[in-house]
Amino acid sequence: MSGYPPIPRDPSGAPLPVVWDDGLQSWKVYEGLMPLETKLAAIESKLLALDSKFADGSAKVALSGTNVEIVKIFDAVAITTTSSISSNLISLNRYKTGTFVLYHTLGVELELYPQFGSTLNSYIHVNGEWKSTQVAPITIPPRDSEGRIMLNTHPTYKDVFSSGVPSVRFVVRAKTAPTSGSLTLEYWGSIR
Amino acid sequence: MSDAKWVDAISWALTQTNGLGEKITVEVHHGLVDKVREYFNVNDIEYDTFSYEDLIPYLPQ
Repeated sequence: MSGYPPIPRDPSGAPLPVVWDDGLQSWKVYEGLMPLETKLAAIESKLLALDSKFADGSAKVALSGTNVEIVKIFDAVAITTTSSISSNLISLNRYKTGTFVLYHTLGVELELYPQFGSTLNSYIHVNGEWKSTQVAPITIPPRDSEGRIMLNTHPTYKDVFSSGVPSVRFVVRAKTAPTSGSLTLEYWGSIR
Repeated sequence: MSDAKWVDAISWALTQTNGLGEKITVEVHHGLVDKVREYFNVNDIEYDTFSYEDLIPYLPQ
């Protein structure tokens, strides 16, 4: 008596090959490589599709589109006066960090300051004393051509701007009344 | 200001290019607003501070 099962045979009596199936813990008739080849073909097809996505750039677009959003704080405001203009209070809760980006073609010098949260004044430590953000504005030089100013690089506000902000309102004032151009302020937020 | 002046200004702006030679489009808000303002200036049309949001009702469908 051996440990081997009876040899399976086809209708003509020819022996059929058998292989050990580890999952079933028994011998079974060998049915060839077709299932494995089918699986390999499916994997190859998926790899080709992935390769095509990287080649045409669509994979990269999908990634950046998912992780970063642009929030408009001022949306192309054509300022005509020297009065202060305030944005809405913008919630930035859904972002981990972000960058404040300003575009302006107003051709005059601007002063800009942030207010954090809806009610209390915010104070920052500047040159040895605590100051309200209102008296510590960011000065933006005149510009009349397109370009971006990255506000997170401003020495007074870089730590606050770069650490994540729950909500913010900006107030802007032109030093002299602009006669052309507009101002846009965006937040490029990295989603939590 | 009359609705027609906004519509005329936007129509003209959308035929223009910016300083980089790129066509003005509805998608680039500051470029469009700058050109609308230029139209008002050139045609002596008085206006107050406005923004892209004020143009929305007059944009082409």
